Amino acid sequence: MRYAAHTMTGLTVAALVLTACGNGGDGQGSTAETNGGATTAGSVDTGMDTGAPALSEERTAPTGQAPELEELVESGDLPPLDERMPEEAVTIIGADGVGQYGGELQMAMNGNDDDSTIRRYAAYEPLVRWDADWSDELTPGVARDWEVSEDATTFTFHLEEGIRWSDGEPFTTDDIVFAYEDVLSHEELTPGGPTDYLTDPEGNFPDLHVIDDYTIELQFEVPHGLFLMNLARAEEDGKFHRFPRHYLEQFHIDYNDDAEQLAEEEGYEDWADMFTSKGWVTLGTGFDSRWMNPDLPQLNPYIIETPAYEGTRVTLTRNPYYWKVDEEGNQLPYTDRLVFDIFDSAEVIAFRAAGGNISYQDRHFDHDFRPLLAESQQEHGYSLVDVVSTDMNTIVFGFNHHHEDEATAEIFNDVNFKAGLSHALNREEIIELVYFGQGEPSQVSPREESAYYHEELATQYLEYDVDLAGEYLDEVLPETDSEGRRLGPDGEPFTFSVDVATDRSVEHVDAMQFVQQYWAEVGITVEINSMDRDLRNERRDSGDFDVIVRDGSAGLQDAILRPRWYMPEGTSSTFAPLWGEFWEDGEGLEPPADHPVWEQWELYEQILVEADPDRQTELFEQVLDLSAEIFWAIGVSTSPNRAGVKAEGLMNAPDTLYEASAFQNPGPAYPAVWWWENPDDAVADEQDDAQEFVDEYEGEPLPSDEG
Amino acid sequence: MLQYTIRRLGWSLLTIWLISIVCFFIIQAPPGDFVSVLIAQAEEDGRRLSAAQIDVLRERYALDQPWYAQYFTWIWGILTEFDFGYSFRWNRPATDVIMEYLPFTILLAGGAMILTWFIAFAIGIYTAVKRYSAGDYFFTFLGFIGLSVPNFVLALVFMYIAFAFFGMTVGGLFSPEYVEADWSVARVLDLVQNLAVPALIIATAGTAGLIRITRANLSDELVQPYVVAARARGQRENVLLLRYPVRAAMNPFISTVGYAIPSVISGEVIVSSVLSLPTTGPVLLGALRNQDMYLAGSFLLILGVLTVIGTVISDLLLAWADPRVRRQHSGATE
Repeated sequence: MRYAAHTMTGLTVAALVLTACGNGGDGQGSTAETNGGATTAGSVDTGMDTGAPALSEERTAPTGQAPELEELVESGDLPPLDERMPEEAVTIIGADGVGQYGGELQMAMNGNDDDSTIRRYAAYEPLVRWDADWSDELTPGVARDWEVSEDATTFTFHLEEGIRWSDGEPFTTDDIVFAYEDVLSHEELTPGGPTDYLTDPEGNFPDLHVIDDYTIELQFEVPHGLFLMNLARAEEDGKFHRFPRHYLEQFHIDYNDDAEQLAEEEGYEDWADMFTSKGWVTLGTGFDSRWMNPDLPQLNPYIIETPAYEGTRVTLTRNPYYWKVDEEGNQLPYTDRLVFDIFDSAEVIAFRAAGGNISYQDRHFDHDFRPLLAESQQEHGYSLVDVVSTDMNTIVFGFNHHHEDEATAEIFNDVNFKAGLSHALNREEIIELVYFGQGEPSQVSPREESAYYHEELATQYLEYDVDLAGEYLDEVLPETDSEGRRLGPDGEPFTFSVDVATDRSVEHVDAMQFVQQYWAEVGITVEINSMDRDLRNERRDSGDFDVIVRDGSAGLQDAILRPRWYMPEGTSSTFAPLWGEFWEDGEGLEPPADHPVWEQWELYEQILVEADPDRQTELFEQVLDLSAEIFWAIGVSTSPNRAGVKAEGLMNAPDTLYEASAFQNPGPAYPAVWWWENPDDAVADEQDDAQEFVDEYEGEPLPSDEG
Repeated sequence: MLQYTIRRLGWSLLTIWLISIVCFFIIQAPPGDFVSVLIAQAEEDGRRLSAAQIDVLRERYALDQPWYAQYFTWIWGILTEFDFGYSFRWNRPATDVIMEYLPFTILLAGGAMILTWFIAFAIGIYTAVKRYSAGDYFFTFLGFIGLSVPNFVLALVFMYIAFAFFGMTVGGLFSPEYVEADWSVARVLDLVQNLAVPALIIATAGTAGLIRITRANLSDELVQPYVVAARARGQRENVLLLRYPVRAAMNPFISTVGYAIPSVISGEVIVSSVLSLPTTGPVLLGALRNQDMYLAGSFLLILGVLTVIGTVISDLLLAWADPRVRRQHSGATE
């Protein structure tokens, strides 16, 4: 607790103003003035407000490669550079300019199954990308260009020409055909169907029209308005350009009659199990062959070297066929390897970071680690990265709008009731005492940094005013007993219970103690129900609860993709899970016919079939207007920015980063173009360092271990 | 002695069988199953599993069957093929996962236990001999602190101290530089260094109790007439002490072998989780939290069996070491 006092100083850094979609592409061409690589730090304007690397409008002919690849070429083990790469390669520019090869990036994973950390650094290569500012303009990725038909049913992709899989085979539209026809729609390989957005909103697979090796047209039966954004959002592994046909056919029963035998020989359950282990993802657990099978050809900058899901360290090594360069034509990536150490608790990762053992990391540091990380910056040679999380609210009270008890349901549906309780909350006090003064009072709304920020939704019924709260509540529950408790329609004091999942957030339990008092002051008695997350989810999914407390997410550009906090969408909308379920697949409960939720759904369904992004934004604003009117849930405060760490001497890596699973940070900031000022020092298992480390710890020289 | 041994073994088999049922039932008791964990995780990750996918998963993991059917399949596999079932989370046989982590666990638990005995034995004798001295009070105080402060708090405090004052990063069994290195003298030293702290933390809890028991027993023995007699014959004090009363006071050490095993191992679970050691502890915890029931069940069963074995060994040892125990249990056969 000694560092509690430092919190406040660390905090002042936090306020960061970002104009979300400011000067998108204008500044991008201005990089040509880098002469001869003699750049100074931060001298290149990448056009990103976050200062992160960006795609250049220029293309560059490949000229240079890493020394280790040079050697392989000289020894004849690898074809020369110009045979491995397109003539004019995709060019990435970073703020610190042209870098140098070498060194390793060292990160930490939280548990063996935290493969999404690997994916975020090594594999953000979608067809179309988010830029590092997370603006709503999509930038080219594997697809160099694309067209969308006016009715949003037909998507034509022009793939980057001349790029190759990591084994040197060309990547073409044929691989996409293989993906859709032989994997995603194959019942044994993709049981239960692929991730929803790979089909249209009605679940139909697209018709594929191959125009040539690099042009393919996907034609859906019904409009698919959010298709492109869903492609940029890459937390799903179900993408259709990850299957190298030439390699995977040998494991596929339709192409190899002996696949079943081969599976048996290699010790797999059946051919589908073998195929999944060689090149696909296990349903449910999400074990991804890309992190297990070093032979699987990929398009990513790094290829797995030490497999994941076992052991305590995962490493990836450079893809010699990676198809991007810096502005001087040097093939990326700059750093030789990615090294991920596996730990089982966020605390240990925080200590690692504070000890300077992590090169760049923005995940797994909860906001309460900020003081610890701030304290040791100078001593251990790193600086803080400001992480703007998509989490938009610290505490969201989801009132059960379809409560079994009709009287209760009516009260929970009454805006006056929720407005009264909202005004009764002393948000400043909760922020000060529970969240170390970080964050601002706010309702449940997309964050200010987002294009979808909705002022009314964010700020209505926000100020702490007990009298006003009383007035609102008098509209709903005017009668009180002798102790000032408000009486429900049955004449008994009106109470409800609040479900809090203890295994996720200690803060919620702390904060509820305060909330209980605030609401008691306005005559509402609340019972706190602490429970495990699984039990809470079970109660939620069956609709058997009064109020559920959670933190709110999807507050940046992902709001439109996952609107669950602003309207009932699936059972994770805590304020009306069964309505959400009804909308999603016809099960659950049907809302009353006159409820404005129908209007919300209708608007959102229009978004799903809308091709024009501006029109989508307008429609979503209307969804949020209604959300403000209905006032589904009470929020408390904006989630504080978190702190990440960036080691000294790591160039081109941004100091500000958006965070969301839909954003795959830091992927959109191109880790392949990060470089070390002193690559020789940036090696995870340097022997001299180790000796020093041991000496320091022991305080005396160890027996020599030379030889 | 033989009859005693047989009877003792028979009872322990029955105990193990009951343990297996209880383990499996308790794992099944909380709401949800592995698939509901997967659903929740996907949701937190912003993804969503479709109803069709969920059905496929429930069927694949046989979670649609009643718990006793699942139990019999599991126990039958263990008895016939020594197959402990499949870990959903790891996508590997449970046995593989356990075997991967067991060696370091045994190293750590064994180290902790030896440390416990060593410290407790030394301090126990010291405090019994020098009763009510300053040293006695000091060690008693220390022992009670060790007993009362939970292991995980100690682990966190150690972690902070190591970091703040020695610049040491904690967590893992190897310093980052040695994770991938080949075995060498330096690497072994590194391992020992990293093991020392957790072993000490686990040992603190166990020592306090043992110190008190040793101290009490030995104090009783020290005033016995045979001690006085030996002293009167001019036996040197140190030799006397170790040869007679200490031997008699050793019983608790032997009889605690049994329950020291589970307490060391459960301490190991907590400490290893906090310190992020690659031992069975965090794996067990993760299995329980993820409702990875065959892995969790196999772990608990193995721990249960180890405890039973420990108890049997300590009973047999005690019977061997102390004729009184032997006679009490087995009538007049010897």
